[in-house]
Amino acid sequence: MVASQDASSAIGVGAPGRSGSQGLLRAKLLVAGLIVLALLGVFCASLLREATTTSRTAGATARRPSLTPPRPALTPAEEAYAQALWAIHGDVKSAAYKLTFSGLRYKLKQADGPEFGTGVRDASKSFGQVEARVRALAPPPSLRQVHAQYLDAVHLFQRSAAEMLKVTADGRDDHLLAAHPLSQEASETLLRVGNMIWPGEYLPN
Amino acid sequence: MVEGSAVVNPQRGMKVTKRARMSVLLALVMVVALSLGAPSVPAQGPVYSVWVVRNSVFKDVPAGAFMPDRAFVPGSTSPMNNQVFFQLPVNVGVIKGGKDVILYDTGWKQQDYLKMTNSVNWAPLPDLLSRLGIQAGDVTKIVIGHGHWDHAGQLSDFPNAVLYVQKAELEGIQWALTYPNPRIAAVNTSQGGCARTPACGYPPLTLQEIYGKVLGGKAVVVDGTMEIAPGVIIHPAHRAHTAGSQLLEVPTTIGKLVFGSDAYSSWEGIRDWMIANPQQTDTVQQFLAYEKCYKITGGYQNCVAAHEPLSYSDKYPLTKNFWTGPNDSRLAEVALAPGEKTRKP
Repeated sequence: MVASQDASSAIGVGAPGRSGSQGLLRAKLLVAGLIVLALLGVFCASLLREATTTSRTAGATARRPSLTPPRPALTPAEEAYAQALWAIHGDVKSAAYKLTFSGLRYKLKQADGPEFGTGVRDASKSFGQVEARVRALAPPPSLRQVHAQYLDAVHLFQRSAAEMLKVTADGRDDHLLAAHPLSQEASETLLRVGNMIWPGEYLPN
Repeated sequence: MVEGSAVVNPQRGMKVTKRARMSVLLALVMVVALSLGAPSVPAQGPVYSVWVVRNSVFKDVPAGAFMPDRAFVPGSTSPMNNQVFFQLPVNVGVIKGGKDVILYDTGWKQQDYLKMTNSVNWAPLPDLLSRLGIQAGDVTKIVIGHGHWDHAGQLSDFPNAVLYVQKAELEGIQWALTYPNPRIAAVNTSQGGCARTPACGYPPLTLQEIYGKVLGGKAVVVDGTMEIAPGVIIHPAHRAHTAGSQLLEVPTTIGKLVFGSDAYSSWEGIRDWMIANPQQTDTVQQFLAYEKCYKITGGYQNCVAAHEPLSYSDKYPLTKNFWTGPNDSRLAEVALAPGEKTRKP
């Protein structure tokens, strides 16, 4: 709107009887006015943006913030045990997933009874195999409790699988309800063990 | 007027015409610039009260791991690349209106992770809700933006709540776990760690929690879009972070909000169109999820991010009205429905 008024006043610049130098002066004033307006606009927009966005530099720091005290490093014997168990851990988790999705798919009617039974039996068989592998490990004294915890978790999964399989015999879903807390506890135990010997197993996702 | 000028002095008049056009153009540019941050139009129909709470903080996440475009460059003075680490909150949405208390995401529960992930300020979600006058048993619905451990971790603490999870999320996990190539199906990707493979972010416990809801008849497997309460709408954002990511549109007195979980990991990312937190992410789909928020809310201000480092500061205006909770957690009052009292002490 302001720019239009300036433009209209500039119309007079070239009107008969006015000198050319005056016209030129007004034209220059018009251009200067437009520039000031544009700068004002940019200024307002930047003010608004500043108010609503971050100044990244404020939070920027090249220094590492203080950390919680680091855990003691594992000894070579502990490290060797952690690596050996890690090689088995993937299979334990895979069997746990198989158990969970067997139940999930059955409940969601994405799998029938025979398919459910096959999945649970497969998982159960896997747990039996990994139990033998875990038992074959020789933990250092400092990790004997961790070792026992891990075996407990595998046993819980096995018990859960056995309970779930009863569904195939009598078709009653309450076996799934009875089995669930066992798998839940086993899964929590896996995390507790991981926290002891595999820090960083799960990163922020 | 312009015609007049042309009559008086055609040559000069033409210049004036161009100037006038330029001034109009400038005015338009100003209007567009000023409207960039303008709040969206208040929603019509039912509106909800909304809070955002911080369940914990992931400390010292490398900048480049969170936002590749902002990877630290030694010696750089650019604000884009002079930050080594980000401190990432884990945000949970609390939505209240009508007969519903709805959670968007549930953070994570496993306290044993505290050392594992270098996390601080973890607070149980029921404790945070109690600061809002909400009991765990009051929660009627839980929408998980995706099923990763740090977003679907406390489901069993809300026994009455019905879980909403995308069908594609459950299928995506199963697809990953059964993929023939063991490198893609891997659940243990490196010595003592698991990060980027498709099944990595789902520990057995998290899936047990989801399964528990299904077993208890408290789960709805959503296939696409669904209105779960008047005006509260789930929008699929598949592959915007995981196979079955989903957004949640919520009408409030400050306009519509869109919660995005990790499809909206960074609010700055949405504002500046940069990808964030790429895990099982198709970055094109993440951009389309950003666009969804712009379309629904009219801008980026009302997009609710899960891990925005600027959360609970003036720099992320949606969360600026905050206070401190247990274990130095944070609670932010985002919008109040008419008649709803503030919870801010």
